[in-house]
Amino acid sequence: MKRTARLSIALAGVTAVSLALAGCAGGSTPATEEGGDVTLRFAWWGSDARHTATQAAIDAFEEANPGITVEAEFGDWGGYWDRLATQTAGGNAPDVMQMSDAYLAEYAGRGVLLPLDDRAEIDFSGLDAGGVASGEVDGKLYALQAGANFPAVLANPALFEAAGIEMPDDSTWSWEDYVQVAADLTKAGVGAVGTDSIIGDPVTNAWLLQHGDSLFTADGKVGFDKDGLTGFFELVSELSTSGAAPAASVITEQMVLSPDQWGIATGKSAMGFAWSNLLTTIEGSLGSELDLLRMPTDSKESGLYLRGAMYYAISAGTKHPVESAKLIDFLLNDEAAADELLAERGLPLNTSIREYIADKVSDPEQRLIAFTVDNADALGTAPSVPAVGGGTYDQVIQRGISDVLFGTLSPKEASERVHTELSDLLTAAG
Amino acid sequence: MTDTTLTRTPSRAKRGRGWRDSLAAYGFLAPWIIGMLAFTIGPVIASFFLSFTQYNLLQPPTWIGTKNYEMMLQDERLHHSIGVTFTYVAVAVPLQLIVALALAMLLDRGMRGMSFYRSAFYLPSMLGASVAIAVLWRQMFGADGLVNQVLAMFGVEGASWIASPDTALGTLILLHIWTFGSPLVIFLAGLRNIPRMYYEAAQVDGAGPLRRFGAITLPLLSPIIFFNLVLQIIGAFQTFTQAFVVSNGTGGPSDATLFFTLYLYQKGFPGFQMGYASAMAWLLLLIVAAVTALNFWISKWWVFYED
Amino acid sequence: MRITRTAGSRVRSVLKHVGLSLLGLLMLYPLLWMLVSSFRPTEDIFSSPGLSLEGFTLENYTLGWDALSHPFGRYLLNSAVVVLGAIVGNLISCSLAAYAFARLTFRGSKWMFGLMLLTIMLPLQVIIVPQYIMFNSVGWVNTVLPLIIPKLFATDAFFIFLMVQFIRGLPRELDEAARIDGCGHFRTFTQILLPLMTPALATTAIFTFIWTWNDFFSQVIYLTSPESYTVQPALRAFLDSQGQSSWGPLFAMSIVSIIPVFLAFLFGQKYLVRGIATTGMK
Repeated sequence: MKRTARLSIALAGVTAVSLALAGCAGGSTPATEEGGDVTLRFAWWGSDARHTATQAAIDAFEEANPGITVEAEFGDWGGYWDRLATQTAGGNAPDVMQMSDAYLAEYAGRGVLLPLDDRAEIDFSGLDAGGVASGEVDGKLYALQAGANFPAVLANPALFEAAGIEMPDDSTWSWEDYVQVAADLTKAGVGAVGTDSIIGDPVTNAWLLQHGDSLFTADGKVGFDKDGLTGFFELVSELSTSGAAPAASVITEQMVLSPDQWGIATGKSAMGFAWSNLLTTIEGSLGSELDLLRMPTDSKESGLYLRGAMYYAISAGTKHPVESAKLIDFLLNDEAAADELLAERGLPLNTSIREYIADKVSDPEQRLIAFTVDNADALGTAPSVPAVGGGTYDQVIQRGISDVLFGTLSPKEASERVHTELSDLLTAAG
Repeated sequence: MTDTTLTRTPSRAKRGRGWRDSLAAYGFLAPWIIGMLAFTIGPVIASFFLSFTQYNLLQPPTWIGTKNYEMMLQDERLHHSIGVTFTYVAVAVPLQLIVALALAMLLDRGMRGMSFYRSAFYLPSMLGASVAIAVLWRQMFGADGLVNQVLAMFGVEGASWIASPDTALGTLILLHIWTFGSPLVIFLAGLRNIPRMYYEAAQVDGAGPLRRFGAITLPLLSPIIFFNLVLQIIGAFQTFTQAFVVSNGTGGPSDATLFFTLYLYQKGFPGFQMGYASAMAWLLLLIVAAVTALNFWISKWWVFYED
Repeated sequence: MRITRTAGSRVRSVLKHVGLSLLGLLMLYPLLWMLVSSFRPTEDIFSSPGLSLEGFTLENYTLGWDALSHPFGRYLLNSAVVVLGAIVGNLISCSLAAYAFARLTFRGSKWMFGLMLLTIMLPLQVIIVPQYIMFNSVGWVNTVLPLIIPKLFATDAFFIFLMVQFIRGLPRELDEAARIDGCGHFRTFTQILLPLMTPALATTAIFTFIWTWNDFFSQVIYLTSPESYTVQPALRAFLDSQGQSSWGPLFAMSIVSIIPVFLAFLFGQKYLVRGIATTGMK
């Protein structure tokens, strides 16, 4: 206590008042050395369902590891990142944090994450090797997948039936087929459009992979050339002009809606693109079951891959790397944690845990797991995580999409602008 | 407090008065001065320093001279965001103030049910910039919102008002007007401070309501109108949360609601370019200070103080 | 002649009430929709039209209250602590500064006033990081101190300006008279001006209440552990832009969180209108 007070007084030299008031501060920094008791801070974003599940897993961890206390810091997506950046700037980052693929390179590349390669506390034996590799930046492992998902087409069988249209074979369909089916669905007049939620990264990523490109390369550059997305934007424009998709403003509106309000989730659209982990949410909102389909493709590449939806990472500045790694190990490998977390963050990284929870998870999640098994042969390698500076790529693409939809940019211009803006972001990050 | 000791002995000597006034003033200002030195100046200077650096928040800043400011000259989205912000300030602020003043006048004269109306009109402002606003605004102006449901009754099919580049800014202007409760309350407080006898005297002289408004209300309320104007303009230049919440932080559709501060935030936090964002903040400060100074200058001709 | 005039004014008064009520209704529609929606089962919220309520349920309230790691009352209480501190701080420190700016002539008053206005103009987003670093270095992070202590030192310059404008609207003869009667500055301030400033003080209190209550950015950054969360960060925890949002509980708790603000306003509004006219000075 005394030390803390003296320390704060010393630091408070900045200002007269903080000096005068520092006496009443103190006490907030946990005592670390004495008694072996350790307090970890663990931060994540998500919904209240995630908070409950994670808190329960933390309780199980604390029970299994007496002497370690875990303080939770949770919140919504936006607030989470503002706070994490501010905390990191202030040298006060949480010990263990949930990390998004969008910002993984940003944080790892800036040296604020702890490399995990040699952490003996983490048992790597059961972990899916490809999934582990997705957490590498510049050849070092900085984060481990908390859950994986994949890009998919969701289709509403009831609307297909009402329209008298057969569910297409997703192992052979092309993008042209997709536009055709969707346009037919709209024309059938069943009170729904053929497709919507053309709003960003699941489609863009899959489409680029199918064309031998990716958004970003492993060495931190833009992974396609100036014309590389022209075809994608032509597709967007075709979906709109053929009547397959709703009005431009309706699609644009979905960019700010949460997934449970998308057309596919309200029955106003027969098909939609989504990351697979949204299936539960979307079906919950719709109230009936959807079919999971592979993305259409014009090449041999399916565009299907397992993406790290979220990761766990450790702050480089942590005073408790051992305990932090223990926590991550517990979350990934322990059945007691799996009982609570199930597949809330996506498919578990540990393959035996994946089997362990297979019949415990809810029905939509069971179908997700089955889908990855059935389509194992089509699974490709995941593209690199966004390069340093590229975390906001999705907004750049979305702006391109809405400008194409509203006719202010041609597909070619949109592709060029997205390319330029992404390159600029990477340059600005230096 | 220091000033009690200062003023305990009433001063008769006129010579000492200026000096005593100054000392008393510093006494009254002591908390503010300490607050400035302790909490404000430091971060302000820091942000000024950061505006000459490349600072990604995660690593220490590196000095790059005036490069951020040079980059701003070429940043088309930045220029666009200035346009959006000026449009918003020029339209939303006067409209909101006119609505607020008109209603304040209506509500002022001891009418029945006044506290009810006041509360009703103030309620939207209480919701402030809560997340719920985003949903409510979509419920009003979204593709399936109330406005389109009403239009549908007349056979008109409306697009999504919040997601069309032409109308999105308009819906945010409406949102601003909707929360006219704050200036309304300030106007009401100000109106109450106009001595009744002025009106009575004017009525005896046979002045009509319009004349009473022009000759009594307007001049006597002018400090309050001026206050509202200055603050609303400063606030409107800094508009962030409403736009952030409604567009989910994107400033969309197609940058139609990309306010200056929203763009600044995008650069600073999700974009990790805090150096650039700081430079933007100083540009904003310059713009707002210039507009405010202009406001003060113009106020000489229309604001009357009881001095 | 006289009768027609009263009839005319009665018609006018009725028209005025009808007009105001319609306007009020229009303005309150979004809020009423939220209120109704908070009693709807979640799956009905976006599918039911308008204000019709079919399946009434209190589930959103019970779920929302207990959804996060602590009962929602905890967050209300935390917000209340911050709000009270901020109100007391703003009332005292800003009125003191305002008196000096409005009534005293002193060296540097012009540029100090300009400096004060400037502090309103710099966006919080770029100040918050240096501020965080400062407060973190003195160990104030995850306490309410960064949210309250600065208010005790008049950092909310908005209210200084508000009160300055207000005082400048008060007749100067009042305090001149007091001075001649031998009152010092402090007594002139506390005994003559403060009572007259009731509307401005009430405005300050109400605005501080609402703004602090609704503030998200600085609260989410300074208050990190769940037991110290305030209302707005807690409300946002119901939303997940990446997945499942709990709309029903969000609306229910939004309603719950407006109630204290509304009560504060209902209680405080009578002070808003305590002008010269009612204090008996003139």
